[in-house]
Amino acid sequence: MPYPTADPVTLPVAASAGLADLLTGPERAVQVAGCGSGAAYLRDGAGSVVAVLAPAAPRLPCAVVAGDRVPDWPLGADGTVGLGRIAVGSWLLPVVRWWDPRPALAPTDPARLAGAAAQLLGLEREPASPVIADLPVAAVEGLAAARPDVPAAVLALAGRGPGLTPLGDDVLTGWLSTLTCLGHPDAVPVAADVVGVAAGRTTDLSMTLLRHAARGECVGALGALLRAVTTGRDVPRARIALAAVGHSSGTGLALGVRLGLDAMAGSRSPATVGAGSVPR
Amino acid sequence: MSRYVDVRSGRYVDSVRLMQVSRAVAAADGVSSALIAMATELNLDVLAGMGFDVPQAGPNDLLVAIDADADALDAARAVADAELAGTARAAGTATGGTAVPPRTTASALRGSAASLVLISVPGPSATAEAMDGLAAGRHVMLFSDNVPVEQEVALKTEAQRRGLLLMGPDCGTAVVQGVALGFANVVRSGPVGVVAASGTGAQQVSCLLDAAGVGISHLIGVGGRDLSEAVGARATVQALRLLAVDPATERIVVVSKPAAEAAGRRVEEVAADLGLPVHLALLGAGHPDLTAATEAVLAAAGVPRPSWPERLPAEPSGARSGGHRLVGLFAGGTLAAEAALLAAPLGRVRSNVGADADLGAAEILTGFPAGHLVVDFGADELTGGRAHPMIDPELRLASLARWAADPATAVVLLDVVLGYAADPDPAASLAPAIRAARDSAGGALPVVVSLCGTPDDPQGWQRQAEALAAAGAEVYLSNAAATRRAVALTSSSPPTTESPIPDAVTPDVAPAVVAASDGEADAGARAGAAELLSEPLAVLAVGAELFADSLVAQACPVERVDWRPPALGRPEDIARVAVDPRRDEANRSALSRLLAAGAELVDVVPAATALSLPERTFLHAGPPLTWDRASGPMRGALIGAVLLEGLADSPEDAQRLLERGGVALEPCHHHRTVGPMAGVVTPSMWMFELRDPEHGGTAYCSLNEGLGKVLRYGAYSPDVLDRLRWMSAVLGPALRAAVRGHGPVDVRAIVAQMLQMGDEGHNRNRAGTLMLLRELLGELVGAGGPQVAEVVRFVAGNDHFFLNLVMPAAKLALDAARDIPGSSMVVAMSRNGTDFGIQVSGTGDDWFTAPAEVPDGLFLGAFGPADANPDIGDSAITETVGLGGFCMAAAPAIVRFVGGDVTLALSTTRSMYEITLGENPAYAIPILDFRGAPTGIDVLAVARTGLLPQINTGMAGKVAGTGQVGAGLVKPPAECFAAALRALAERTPGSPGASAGPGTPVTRTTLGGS
Repeated sequence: MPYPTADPVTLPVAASAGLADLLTGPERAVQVAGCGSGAAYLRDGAGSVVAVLAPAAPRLPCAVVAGDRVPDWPLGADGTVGLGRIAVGSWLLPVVRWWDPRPALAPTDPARLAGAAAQLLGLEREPASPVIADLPVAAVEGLAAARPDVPAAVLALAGRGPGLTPLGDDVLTGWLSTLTCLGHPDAVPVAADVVGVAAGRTTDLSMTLLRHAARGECVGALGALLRAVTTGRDVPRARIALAAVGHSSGTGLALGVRLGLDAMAGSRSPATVGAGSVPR
Repeated sequence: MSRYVDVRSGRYVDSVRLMQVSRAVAAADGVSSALIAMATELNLDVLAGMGFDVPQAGPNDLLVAIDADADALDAARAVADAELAGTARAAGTATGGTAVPPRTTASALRGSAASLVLISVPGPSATAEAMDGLAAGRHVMLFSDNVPVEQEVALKTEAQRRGLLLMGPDCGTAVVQGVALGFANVVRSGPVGVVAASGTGAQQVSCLLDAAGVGISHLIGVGGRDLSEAVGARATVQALRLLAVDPATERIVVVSKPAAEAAGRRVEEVAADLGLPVHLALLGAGHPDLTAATEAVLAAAGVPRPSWPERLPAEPSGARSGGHRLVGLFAGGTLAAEAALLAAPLGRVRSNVGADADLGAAEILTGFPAGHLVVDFGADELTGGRAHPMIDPELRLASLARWAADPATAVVLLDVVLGYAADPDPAASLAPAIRAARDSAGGALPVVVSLCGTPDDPQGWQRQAEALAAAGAEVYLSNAAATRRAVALTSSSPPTTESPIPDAVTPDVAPAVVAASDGEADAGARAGAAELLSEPLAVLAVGAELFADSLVAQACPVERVDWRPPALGRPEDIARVAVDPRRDEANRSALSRLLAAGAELVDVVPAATALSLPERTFLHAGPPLTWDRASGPMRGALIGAVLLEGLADSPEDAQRLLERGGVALEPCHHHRTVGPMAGVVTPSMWMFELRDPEHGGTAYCSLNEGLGKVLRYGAYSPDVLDRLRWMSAVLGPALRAAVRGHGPVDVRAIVAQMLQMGDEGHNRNRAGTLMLLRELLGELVGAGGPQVAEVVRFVAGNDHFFLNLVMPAAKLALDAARDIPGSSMVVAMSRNGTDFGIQVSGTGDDWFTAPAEVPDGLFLGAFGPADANPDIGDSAITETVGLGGFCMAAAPAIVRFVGGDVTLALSTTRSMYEITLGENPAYAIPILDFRGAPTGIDVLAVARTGLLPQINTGMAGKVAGTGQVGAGLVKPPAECFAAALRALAERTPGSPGASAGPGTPVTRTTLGGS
């Protein structure tokens, strides 16, 4: 749908470094897939989503953040991303700054991770959690195993649950982010499995977030929880902050982190857990 | 040609905007020159230099000076007016009709998401804003210069105590998470953290690191004096620790002038313990230049030394024949200092920077001092009331032309600093100026430019370099290289790439220490501060719009303060009170005592017994007063009181008794009492007795007589006295019986309800009166007696009856907040018809007085403004506690009584939040979404904003015996607050007046209020 003509608006944005290839590459066509208060979503032909967010919105790894306001684009409007900018109709969003969606984590030790995992117990019973009870228990618990059956878990969880990011995907995203960011020895093949199996089974936004998780890129509040987990400081506060993301998404992500920590504990434990197995 | 000079007071526009207005006017047809600027000493000098007669004006006045063709002058003035009108921010547009934009950092930060406050207001005012930021738990970047060093120490001590970082002052650069704050370049992200006590020095180092392909993690500007003895590296130490725990930072460079001994040792100690390499780039004699220091960092990181970018003109100039002088004209202080050091081998270098600075502003702008010359146009004496030369090139361009025309000038050396907030296209004005300079020297004048910037800067290093080279300048990224080239050209020796400076000292590179000592003691503080480098950045900008705009351009969320220069009080008093370490806690304590205070009506008693009031002693409203200074209504009320007490038979006799001092007069406030209007209390009058169950205080107030011709408005006719006698004989005893029968009446609860019902508790008490009557009606009727109907009719017929309960309730709350050292909260505002006086928690029982003003409002019947007496009464105690004028929004109908419109009622309450310490959740204002009443007037906030408390009041006739003539709005005189501020400043710890008793303009009194 062509965008109605209007006065040109330039809105500088700060972009996730996880979008560097997409945003600095050649121009490609996108369409406005959603637009609400504080967020707009663009989708390309391959189903990759780019979010345009207000500063207060949760920082998705697939987002650019505007300092000022968020455009009120009509659903379905045509645009482009690439050449260092986003263009939709009369709106031009130049990328003036990049931020890193990978949490900066210092090396830590397994004891600290185990202590943090203990502080994340009981998530299934929290107020936002009734929907968690609807997830297949075996698949959820399977993620905590040292050598999880990844395809089975993904088949059981991908696309399950209501929302723009189904709850099952949130759990998967939190779990996968934990493995990639904390440097699980099998993170790379596991990530490839998750992305491969989930493709076509869930929403474009969830799929996009899983791809970012595979590279150790995650929503800001999730990164903050992982930072808290590795330093052993302020875990409860970070968990509460993460729970505030979305309707039930934050709780799903936090559960994923706990399962990921269990998986880390069961894996052949290195003396120190590294700062990620994904090349920075 | 015609000249127009106008001085406009009461206007403040920041210097960057004014430069833009000046440019727009200068560009108008027929205009030869224009200066629109604040009338600082520097700008008046500039005006004189332009050939204008210098008008009488001060730094808070706006100067509009235009030199134009006679027929073009009017049009040019119209351009100036239109441009200036455009600078007045439309406060209402963004936030709705009655919204009041925040005027201080403190009020802007209430409910703000900002994590950092960027302050660029003039130095003398910056301290209070910075303190606001720290008190609200925010990091501060203090761009302002001219901040006294003792205030810097106080601010940094406070920041440390709170685990916050205070960047600056006077080092206008920082890059946090890639966001440039103040002047900073767009530098690629990389592993080097920069700690800078030098603004352009840090920009030079970061631009060189960018050119080397390395980049920076964060750049933390710690202020130009941080490594001095006085400041003791406070911020440098914090910044080092912050960067040490930042995962992106692998090594650190500290850029500074050489440190004072102890500060340098402290930095070395901390650096040795950090667990990552720290390099010191100290610019001074015997130290390597900044380029060499950067090369040492690169070498340590294993990065090969690149060839630093340069751009040469098609035909480079040779030396100017006969020229023997190097003239360096700089915008960057550190770059100037580096040039002065590197030029030293040429001989004597005159400069306004560095240890041997000996050039003043006048000599720079108009003289021709002998010797080599290096001028920093960014120095304090050349920026007062003007934008920094990185933004406003005018003064430097004028100097360039002057010096180029001097045949003794062998070479001109310039710097140009790019990046955010700097001139968006410096070459646009500099290239033509260079061309003109070279032409004036017959083309033989070499011009060398040190161009500090990166390819990604908004101006683009390459684009700027091309334009400057096309004008004939040689352009270098390295300031040291540019200076060496200029030195070589001056001494006519062949250009060389080798350093002509002897002793290339090995840079001080602290060895990398492997074991990080993770002191758990300050881990908490570090974790808090570390959020600055890890959590998404949002900024509150106070001062130059340019910096806020530059944050918008960087996609960084920014909120703004509608800051204006302080309107009353002395700036040094404001700063001293602002940094009083006791203030924050003292004000919190004063406010929480005020808010916690209860108010119960427990009895109704005669004044003689309740107040142990001796015969022939009367109380009156306001600060202390004598008969000879008393106004008409006060005299009328006192005459009536003498007659009421039977001390004289006629008004004439009564007056004679009062004239000869036959009655002792004392303020109500000194006897735990408040009285509306004249507030006269005699032994025979009956009083409400209120108790504060929380703090145990007691307060009294007389019974309200009704409106019109009444004693408190100065009437004393027989009917007035008859009513008072009936009140003592019938009303008082009846109310006593009812109150005693009922038990304590919760007055505070009724006040809270009346705000929900359209009363504001000062000039509208209708709902309150009815609720009191409802409360006591059963007991009144139950007690029976022949006069019960009279009593009920009297109370029900007097809409102001409840005022005399609101007032003592307010008095109880404010007395609970008295005498807290360091607190700047007002605990009484009161008037006696002659003087307006205030008392402040931190200054004991002193009154700060000034002549009371006449209210502005609506008049009864045929009365008019000429009939009104100046402001009178203790009833402003209601505003002091957050009611009355402060709660006008709760009582929009009040405007029918005091004048104004409903919009005024709303905007008045909103603006009072700007001068109060907090909100009273018990007194909620429905139309403001049940926001608590603005409560706890802060003397400091009043002085900073110039917003005076709004009082709703009745007006008495100025002739004794007249009674009420109207009702309206009034404000206290500003002088009361200026004097209170001064007294607070004199009492700050370490101040010269701290132990010297009360300040000068103080009415000293003997008895406290509580």
